[in-house]
Amino acid sequence: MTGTEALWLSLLSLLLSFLATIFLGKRVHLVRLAGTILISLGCFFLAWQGVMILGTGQPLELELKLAGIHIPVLIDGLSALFLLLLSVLALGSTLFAYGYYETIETKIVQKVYLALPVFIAGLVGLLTVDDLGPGFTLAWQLMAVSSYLLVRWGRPLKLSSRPALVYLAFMESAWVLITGAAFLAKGYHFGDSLAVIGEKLSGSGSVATAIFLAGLLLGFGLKTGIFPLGQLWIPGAYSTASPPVSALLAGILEKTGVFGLIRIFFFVARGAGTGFDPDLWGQVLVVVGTLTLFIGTVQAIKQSDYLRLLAYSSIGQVGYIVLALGSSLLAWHSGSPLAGIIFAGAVYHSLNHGIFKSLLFLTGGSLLHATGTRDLNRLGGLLAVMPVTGVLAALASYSISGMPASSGFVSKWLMIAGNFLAGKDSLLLTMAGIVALFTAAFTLACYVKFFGLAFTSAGASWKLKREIREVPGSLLVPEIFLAVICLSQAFLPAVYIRLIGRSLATTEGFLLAGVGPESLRANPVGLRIFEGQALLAAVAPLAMLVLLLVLAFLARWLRQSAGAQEVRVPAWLCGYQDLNKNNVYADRNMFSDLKKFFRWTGANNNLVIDDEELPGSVSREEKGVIS
Amino acid sequence: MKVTAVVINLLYFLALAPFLEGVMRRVTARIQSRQGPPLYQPYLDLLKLLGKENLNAAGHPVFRLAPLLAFASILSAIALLPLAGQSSFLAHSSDLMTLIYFLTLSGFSILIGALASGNPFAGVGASREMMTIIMLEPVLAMTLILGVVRAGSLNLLTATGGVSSVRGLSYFLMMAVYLVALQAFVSRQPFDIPEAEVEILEGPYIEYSGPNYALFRYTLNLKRMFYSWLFVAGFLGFFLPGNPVLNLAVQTVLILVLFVLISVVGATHPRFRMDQALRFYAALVLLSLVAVGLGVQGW
Repeated sequence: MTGTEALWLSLLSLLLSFLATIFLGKRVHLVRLAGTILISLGCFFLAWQGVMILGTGQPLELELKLAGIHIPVLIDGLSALFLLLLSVLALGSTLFAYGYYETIETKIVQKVYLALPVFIAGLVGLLTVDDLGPGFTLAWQLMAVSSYLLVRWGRPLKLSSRPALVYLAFMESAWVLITGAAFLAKGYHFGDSLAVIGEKLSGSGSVATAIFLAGLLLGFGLKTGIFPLGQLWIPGAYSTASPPVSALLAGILEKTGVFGLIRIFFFVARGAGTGFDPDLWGQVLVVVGTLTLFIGTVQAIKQSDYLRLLAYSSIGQVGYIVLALGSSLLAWHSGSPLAGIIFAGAVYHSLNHGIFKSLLFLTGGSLLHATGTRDLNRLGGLLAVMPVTGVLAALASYSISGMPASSGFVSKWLMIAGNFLAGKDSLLLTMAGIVALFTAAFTLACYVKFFGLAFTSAGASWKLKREIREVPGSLLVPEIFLAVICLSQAFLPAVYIRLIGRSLATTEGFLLAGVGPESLRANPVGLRIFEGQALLAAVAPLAMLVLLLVLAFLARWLRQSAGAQEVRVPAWLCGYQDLNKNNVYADRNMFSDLKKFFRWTGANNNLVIDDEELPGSVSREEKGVIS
Repeated sequence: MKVTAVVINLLYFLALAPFLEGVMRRVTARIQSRQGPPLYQPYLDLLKLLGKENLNAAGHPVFRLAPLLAFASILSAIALLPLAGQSSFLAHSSDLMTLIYFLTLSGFSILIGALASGNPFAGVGASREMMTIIMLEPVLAMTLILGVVRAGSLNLLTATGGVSSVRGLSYFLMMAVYLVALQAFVSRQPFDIPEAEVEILEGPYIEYSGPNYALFRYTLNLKRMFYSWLFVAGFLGFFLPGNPVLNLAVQTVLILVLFVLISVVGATHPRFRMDQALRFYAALVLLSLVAVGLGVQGW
């Protein structure tokens, strides 16, 4: 099977899944079954195609003719890498959706299974078409409209219609910006391939090029969620769509924006020649990225609705990627080989964030499925009843916080360390690196809150009326699948870095071509990624894990050294009372002084509305907080 | 041979950390016109705690795991240190970022253990502890980053050496900031807000007792010593005579002096409220940003 065949087979499976849903009508169990099998098949072909392209090292180029319109299609190493991520995430979400939609009403399930394959096909299109004209429009509209519908059907209409509409409005304005900006290239013909646009830009003057780049930065930036555009739609959309859909939105939809930014600033801009000022655009990306990562993460800390918390934190994490793209441009401009390392970090973080954020949204979905509430104030102590979900959430939280021996550590290390070393004589890069490191502590605080107050602590058993049980295996299996990939990203960084290097080597017209995969092996500025077979810092998670484990065993030996017995006792509250629902530590108290201190960053409204209590009927007051 | 260097790192810190607490208690007592416990009292306390019953208020595995992780991660950070001006055996697979994250991991373990206990006092303590980590970690990071931008490497030995390599404006500013922050790093008055015995009953540790508490206690001692060591190695690095044994002796004496200073400040200042402390920390963060900025400009 060649790459082209695999692509068609994958699209065919998605189409079949769409048709099957229509034919099966009200037999909703069959709809879910057929949809799951066919979409999974589509994901399999998609992954096959990605592997083929990365394996053979041959980009795939073809031109589609649809009713007289020519659509250039280009699947090179970079597309293949993102397609692989898409196939993994779509598979995870689809499998999760099978179990998740079991208890949802028939009408919604039917509609969801109509929109889901279209959504995935739209994403495939965005990653493969090579123009900003008809092909791009087709893919974008498939993606935008289907995901609008998916967001709309995620919650009762009273709650979902507004965020869904806002989402659609911003997606359409992004489309206008992107397709419109292309007309600035002199002699542009609607449907030119990206390489041609780059060439035409070189003859259109520096002002036109600057406006072109600004338009695309805004357009793709809207989609990735850069500050302040992301805040306008991401929290609403991600927390409204049902969790398996949010997992796709945060995991891959956002990354297609990153993909677009990479395509524009590292491919098209190269063709633009002198009209493209890498210094200026590098600085713009660094400033925008730094603002995005800081503000997004600080806003996340304020949320009591865990789905909103995850949504805001997505904005923050994407900020890291945008920052890294900018500093990579700057480093390249000053001739530093660090550009390649930082760029590899940005791509690595895109893959990592795709996996662990999806995993977080799926565990969030499990929580919602089991407890029926999205309010952290009402949860607590769930680890005892939902141990598997708890462990998976802990893994994802640990990874996204970038702790040592996790996947987040590797990618954040590549980006931030690169920033510091490249920032030796650039104040901007050093400051951006410091803010990024500072924000890592905020990320940790966010996820301590998420994991700590949902799974440890206490409270759910008193505050929720239903009995809580571990979610069924059909929800756990896809989560475990993603968790395994997340672990592989933590412990096999060398494999992934080679994969990224290989994908860049299979990609023509790459701006950093000179500092590509080959020089990743070199030894720039005392920083080595590969040292023979032995790997350094970021790439030596196993050494650090072994160190930690050995010392933990030492601690355990010390604890047991005098043969102390463990005794189970009730919590001690100064002898006045027992632990009950009136005196557990609720989420709104957490970090109250810090929230006040960072009030100016916005998103302070922390009202959580569960599905069963519609707006207007809510009278849960924000009581005084304990600091 | 090289692995023994790591063991020396660990033994040096493990052996000396409780003694430094003894110094702290004795100095504090003398300022308050008391006799004070003998200098070896903290060792006795640890031994006594190890022999007591291990009370568990949560029943969670997380509650049991937290002290182990806290202790292991602070020791991991210590294992990476270039003690006595010698590069660590692990320097090849670790650097400054690993060090910073291990320190955060240690703080993280304390507060996840606190949250696991379910006690609301511990919750308040955990919340305060996390806020302190958020605001203070940058000061520590920026001290090391000052070394990084000077030395151009993330290696710990060169980075700590880089801090004092140019004694310009940035060096003095950063040193002043670090000295003030040190009081909060070691959580003594006026910054012992997360524990605040008389207010929230030792906060995060309220439900811990016996061997588990001994591990946390030990972790706190190690952490205090770590931050003092970093000051000595970074800002006073030029005092080192060159011979590893003499280096270690000089560093030990300087750490002792620093501990006396910390105790004096701690015994003579009342505790801040959290919101006051946050403003204070924010000023420290801004000042250290200025220091790094000056450092990049070569001042």
